[in-house]
Amino acid sequence: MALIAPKDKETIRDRFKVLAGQVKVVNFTQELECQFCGETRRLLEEIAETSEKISLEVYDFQIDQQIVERYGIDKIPATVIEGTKDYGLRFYGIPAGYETASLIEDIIDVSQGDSGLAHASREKLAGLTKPVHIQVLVTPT
Amino acid sequence: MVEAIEFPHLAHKYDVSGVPKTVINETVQFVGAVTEAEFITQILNAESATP
Repeated sequence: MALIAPKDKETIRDRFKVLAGQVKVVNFTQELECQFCGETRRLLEEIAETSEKISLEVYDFQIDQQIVERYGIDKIPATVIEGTKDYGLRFYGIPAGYETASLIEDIIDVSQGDSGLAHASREKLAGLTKPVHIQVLVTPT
Repeated sequence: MVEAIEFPHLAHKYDVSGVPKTVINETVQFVGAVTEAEFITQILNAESATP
């Protein structure tokens, strides 16, 4: 059974008309899939089906250690949204409920290579000298 | 994004009592949605608080 209803899939397809560059969605799971690993992978498969601009790669957290290291993945399910470069965007856990909307908007931002931040914000952040690690903890609603 | 229910050790570590809970560089934490300007301020605060 599909995780995304046909009507919602059409809405996503419509929303993705603004996609510009190719987006690579990289998913980390494992052979014996954890509780939400399988569901996350299926959700991403369904999202990837809605646009030719989106490609999905699935890796095994236990086996594909080089790739796990390259992306700095320390827990699964993990999802990376990558465009012309890796912007550091990671989703840990299933992007369900409101987080599906966040995932879709992130795919659009990455595809367009634009965070959508205000000019003033960009100016302030330009002064940062070290990488910043931001974690937003959410619950699926 | 970190889904708190799937990673209870992180929910516990960061004392997640409400969501969204934002943690920047392990030094700055706040609960709830904030404006973009406030978020930027918190990022700058985190940088100056990080050794």
